[in-house]
Amino acid sequence: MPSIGTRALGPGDVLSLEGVTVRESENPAGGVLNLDMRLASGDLHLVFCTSRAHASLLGDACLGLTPPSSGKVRLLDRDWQDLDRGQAHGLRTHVGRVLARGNWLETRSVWENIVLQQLHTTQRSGSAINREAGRLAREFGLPGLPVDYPEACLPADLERAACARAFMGRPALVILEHPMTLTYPEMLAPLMEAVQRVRNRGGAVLLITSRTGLFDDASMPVTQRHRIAGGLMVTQGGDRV
Amino acid sequence: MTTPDAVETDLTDDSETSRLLRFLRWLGDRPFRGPRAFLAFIGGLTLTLARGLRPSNWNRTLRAEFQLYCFQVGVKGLPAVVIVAVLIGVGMLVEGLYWLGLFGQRQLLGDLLALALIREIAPTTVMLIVIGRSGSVMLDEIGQMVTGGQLRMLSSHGIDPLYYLLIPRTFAVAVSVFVLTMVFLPVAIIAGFLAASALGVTNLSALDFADEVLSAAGWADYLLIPVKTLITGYIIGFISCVLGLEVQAGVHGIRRQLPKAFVLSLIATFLVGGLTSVLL
Repeated sequence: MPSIGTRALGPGDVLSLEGVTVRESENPAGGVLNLDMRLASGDLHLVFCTSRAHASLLGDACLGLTPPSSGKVRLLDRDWQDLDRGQAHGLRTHVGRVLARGNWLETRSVWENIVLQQLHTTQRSGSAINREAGRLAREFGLPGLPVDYPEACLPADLERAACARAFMGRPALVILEHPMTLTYPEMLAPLMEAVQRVRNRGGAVLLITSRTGLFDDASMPVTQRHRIAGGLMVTQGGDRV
Repeated sequence: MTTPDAVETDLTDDSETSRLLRFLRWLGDRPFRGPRAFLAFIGGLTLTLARGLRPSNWNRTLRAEFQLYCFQVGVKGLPAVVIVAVLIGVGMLVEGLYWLGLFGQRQLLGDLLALALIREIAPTTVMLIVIGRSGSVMLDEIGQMVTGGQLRMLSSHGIDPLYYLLIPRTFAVAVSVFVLTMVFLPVAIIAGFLAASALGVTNLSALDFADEVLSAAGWADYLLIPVKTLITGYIIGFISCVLGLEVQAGVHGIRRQLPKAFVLSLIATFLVGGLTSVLL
């Protein structure tokens, strides 16, 4: 299968959205987002967004899954519009994501869901992948890798498992859409540790939350804060500004 | 100069000119919709086959999916196929005895059993079982993924659904239909022989009966089994998967696709079955 290959993370933009307008494909008249932001290597951007649909749309726009009607979206210096289908999927292997909805294949165990991406897109051994998945699952507060089907798991455990999956491998970008709906604040510390590890090796993290407490927490080591309201993204500040 | 965007904008307003333009567009689009859909279907069918025939595309997750669906379609379909094979074997014997007896041709019973079973009845019956038992389940599963957002999840993680979902499932259905047909045939023939022995219709030994049946079929009949089952199995697997991928959100999404998939699979079964029977 076509692959864009692995690349070392250096200084520069991991993700940039310039003058982007995206529309919800299911409701083109309703969901419109105007986006402008740049995530450089080592950045953590916090986005306040109460709408799950808008969070999904933002995540999809970043990953080239919803093509913008105007503007440019670039990941690791590659414009999604310049990539064919195979190259686009190859580039997405550098991203970890917690989705606002549709996180789990219902006919596979949670464990299989967690390791699927690494098994599919890398040559790593199955045992190494399972070891990493187990370590991350324990870090996020699970007793080990859940072998049950998603419908048999507690929603809070699924949130933890989704975070474990998002940090599998060495993602250059991690997009977390409402990752702590049920597990805030107890999962904040392990999540921020994992986020910090990504930042330390030059990756970037986009954390989308609907929690005002988290968004307004001045102690959060955030590069920039944004707020999505009425389809507009407003940059509010952070360490960079 | 009018840009495509401007035309789109024009078409969304409700003036008389726009309504006329919308009507003309609908009128112009209508005759091409069917041929376009057919060409897209043939293109997708060929592309998936080409991708599936490249060994480098079969990474470990695709191999695991293939094994899983061989189990789901093939192994789990085995009891249904065996039961139907026994019933058809016995039923064919009774019917064959009646009709051949009317014309004084009872000695052709072995030929009738072998040729009718090998050429038509076994492949067609197995395909009908697979369409009803597995095709609809695959369509529903993929449709749920589309509406539940799991397809986006796969794409988000760099897993192309067209590889991950289509290739292993279509190839697994093709292989399963072939294997199930190979199970169906001896079961139906043995059931027919046992029924014939029990009714006292034949005094042949089991080996003589097998010899009579097997020698009634020529090389073309034996070649027909893999050709017909693999091609038709692949197509009905593809139809189920593609119609699953086309499911739209809403309560009627999957319900709308299920009868469509059933009818298209039936057409494919009889069309390909008929063509291969004529050619071989």
